[in-house]
Amino acid sequence: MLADERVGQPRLVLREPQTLEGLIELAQRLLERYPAAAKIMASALVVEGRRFAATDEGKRWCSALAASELVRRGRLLWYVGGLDELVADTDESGASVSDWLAQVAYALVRTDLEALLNRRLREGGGHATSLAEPA
Amino acid sequence: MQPASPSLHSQHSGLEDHDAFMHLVLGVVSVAVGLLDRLHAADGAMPPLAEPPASELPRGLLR
Repeated sequence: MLADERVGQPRLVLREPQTLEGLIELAQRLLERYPAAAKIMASALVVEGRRFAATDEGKRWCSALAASELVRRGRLLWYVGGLDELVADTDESGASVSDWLAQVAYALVRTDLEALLNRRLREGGGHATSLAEPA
Repeated sequence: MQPASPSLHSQHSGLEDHDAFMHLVLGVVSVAVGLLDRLHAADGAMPPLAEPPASELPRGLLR
């Protein structure tokens, strides 16, 4: 294709360094704003991962991920960002994300969902976007 | 010099005890695998959806 034939055509431009920097800044802002929530989430995922690593399937995943360049780069970001501190005192006996999901799934199945949603809508607390409205 | 002996845990899984990042990644994988298993199980447990009468479908969908 000649250069003048490209004029006026849409172009997709990937700006990887800027995209990554934006994501890092977003993660930093979230960590600064919600440190307790970030710690709880990260710890629950680490507990989940440790339990999973003890299973046969987890060992297979671990071997595959150990050779991953993506994981190597992610680990670099993790350490440089000081995120190890976030999970330094993780309670091994604590709840994992799967434990949370099991609780949610159990509640979802056992609850009269229509009645719950109707009551919340009547009380004005049912719509998620109501949380985003300015005070 | 011989390298230090790996821990019992790392001998079994190839994973160091202190590698929190890898554990976190494995945690994400575990959650995804668990969710898929749960969805498959739920799909199997749910009765199949009844097919609606053809007359109730919008005309554009009927070929």
